[in-house]
Amino acid sequence: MLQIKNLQAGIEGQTILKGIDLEIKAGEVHAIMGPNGSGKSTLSQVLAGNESYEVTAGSVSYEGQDLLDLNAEERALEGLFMAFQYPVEIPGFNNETFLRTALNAQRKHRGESELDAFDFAEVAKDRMKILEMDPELMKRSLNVGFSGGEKKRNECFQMAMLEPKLAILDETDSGLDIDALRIVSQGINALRREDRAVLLITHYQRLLDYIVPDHVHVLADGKIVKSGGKELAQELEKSGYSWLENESAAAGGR
Amino acid sequence: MKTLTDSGTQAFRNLFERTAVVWNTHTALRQAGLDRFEALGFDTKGREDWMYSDMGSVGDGRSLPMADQPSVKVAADALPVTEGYRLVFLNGLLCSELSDLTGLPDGVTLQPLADSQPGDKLGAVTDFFNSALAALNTAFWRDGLYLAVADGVKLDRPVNLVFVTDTAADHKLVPVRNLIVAGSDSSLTVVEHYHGNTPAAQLPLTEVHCAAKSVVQHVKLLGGEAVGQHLGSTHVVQHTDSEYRSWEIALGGDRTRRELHLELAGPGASCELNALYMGDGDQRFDMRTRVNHAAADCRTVELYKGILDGNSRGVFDGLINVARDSQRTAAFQTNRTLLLSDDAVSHSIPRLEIYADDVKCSHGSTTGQLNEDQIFYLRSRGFTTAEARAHLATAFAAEVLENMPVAQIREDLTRRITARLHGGMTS
Repeated sequence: MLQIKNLQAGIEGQTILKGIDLEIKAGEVHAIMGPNGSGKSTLSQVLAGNESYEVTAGSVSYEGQDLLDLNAEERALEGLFMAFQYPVEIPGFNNETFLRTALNAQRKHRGESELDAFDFAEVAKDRMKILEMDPELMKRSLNVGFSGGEKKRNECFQMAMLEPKLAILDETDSGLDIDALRIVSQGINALRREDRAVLLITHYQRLLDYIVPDHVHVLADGKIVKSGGKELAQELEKSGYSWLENESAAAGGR
Repeated sequence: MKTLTDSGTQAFRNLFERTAVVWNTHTALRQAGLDRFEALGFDTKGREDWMYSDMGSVGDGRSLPMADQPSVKVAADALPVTEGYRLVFLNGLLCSELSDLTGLPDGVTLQPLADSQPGDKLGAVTDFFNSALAALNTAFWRDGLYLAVADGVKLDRPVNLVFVTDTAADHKLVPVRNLIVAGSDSSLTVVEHYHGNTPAAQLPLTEVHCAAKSVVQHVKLLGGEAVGQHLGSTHVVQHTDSEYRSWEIALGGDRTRRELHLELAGPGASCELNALYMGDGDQRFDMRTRVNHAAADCRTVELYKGILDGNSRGVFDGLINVARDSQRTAAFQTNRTLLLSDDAVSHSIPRLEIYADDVKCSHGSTTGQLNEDQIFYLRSRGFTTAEARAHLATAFAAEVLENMPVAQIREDLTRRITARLHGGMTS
């Protein structure tokens, strides 16, 4: 589904990603872990199409297309979704209207009929239950006055409604308490399917107690320095990230 | 500095003398208005008040003979489909055929001002000493609304005032005068609709008396299609514990100036002043507010928002004055302007003058473009850049409309503003 080869990217002339190689197949859940500043968020922003970041080398293929050739909205219409680490607030833009408009744009792109407010509410009902979302949140302005946890839940709810092929979750677990973490995980697990893939980006192992990944990668200084199965996450939990310095020093010959 | 001898004001005196013969009412007041206008003038350069304004043909002092009555046909097309009572004025003159006052409850006087005996209320609030617009209107008004609601009466439906101009008013002055007297513990809603696709100069003035504990909601809708000038003002006095809420929505016009003068005269009174002005092309907006907290325990919440595209220009000039003994005043003034093009220009002059020591006051002004993070967020959900921009601009406008009375008008406005902001899209 997604093939990243030697991806190098940065912002304002500073190189942050220094050659990422990663392949994600349909049906898989991958987790990328790493310390602060390792380039985790840059990777998610580049994949989502944020033009503030400049890709300087490498390639990204998504469903047989050159992903870097598509702009942010084209990627979304092709089924790529990123849950933001910091979802923006938009006063005056009703949460439900926003999501219904977004969903209909995608349905239209796929040649499906648009949903009216009634149909939308019908579809939304069950998915809100899984995420234990207060229906009142749909009547408010997008993310305005939402708690940190409510914002993350709203991201997951958008994901549940938009049913992406590839979901990238950028530190969706940060700032969540244990209950919220469990609920958000339920939402993500409900999305797992043979024809879909998930890329979890996280600092902590605890999210992976709820969402069991097929592959875990460790990102350090803009490169994937180690890959393994779910047990790699547990190792990291025990030893922290300090061992990375030796590892990358050895790898880079510094 | 322009003076009495200027050709501009002289033209108005000539006009006054020519047309005075049709008026046999309020002669002394009119004369005082004209005298004051001659002293103030429309000096677009010298006086700070007018510094950022471009008054076009009125400012040039070209004579503007008063307009004639247009055809009823034109006006019927412009009628808003809105519930409530209705008074229609064509080029400033009453059109009874299109007006509808059926079902007025007891205790409510609703009639043309020209046929009324408002006593000493007329002109009692209007500060024409400091406003050239008010002075000019006082000299020249012909007709308008007289609405008096008796103590304790709640007016059940909104009063719609429809002001239409047609080609008979091209480059002419259309002065309208409205007087609203809300009795104590009464409530009412008035909506002023301005229509006209012609280069007329509308010069309306509405005076509002809010007696103790009255609640007055006042909406002013300036249509988007107008190419003419709009020089409108509102003068309000509020007594103890009264509430006044205002919405000024200006969606176009070649030159628009709105003034709002408000006096909080009794303790515990509160006002909420909202405005949205949207410009494109070469349009000019000049939005002024003057609020005086003359009593203690009063509250002002002011939110003026502008959306400027093309080469349009907007001015916000707001002053809240808190007098020395007006303790426990709460006053919040906000002006926000969204610039949708590189050539649009906004001037903002928010001011607070505070002479009391126990107050809660703030003022703020922001001018900027759409937020890139918000645009990216929407694009990441499948909106094109143009759609994202349109949605964000619509959301920016929505805050002003949020609490506007008369659902029908609010929804219609939301539709029109949304359509307009989405109009330039390429998707």
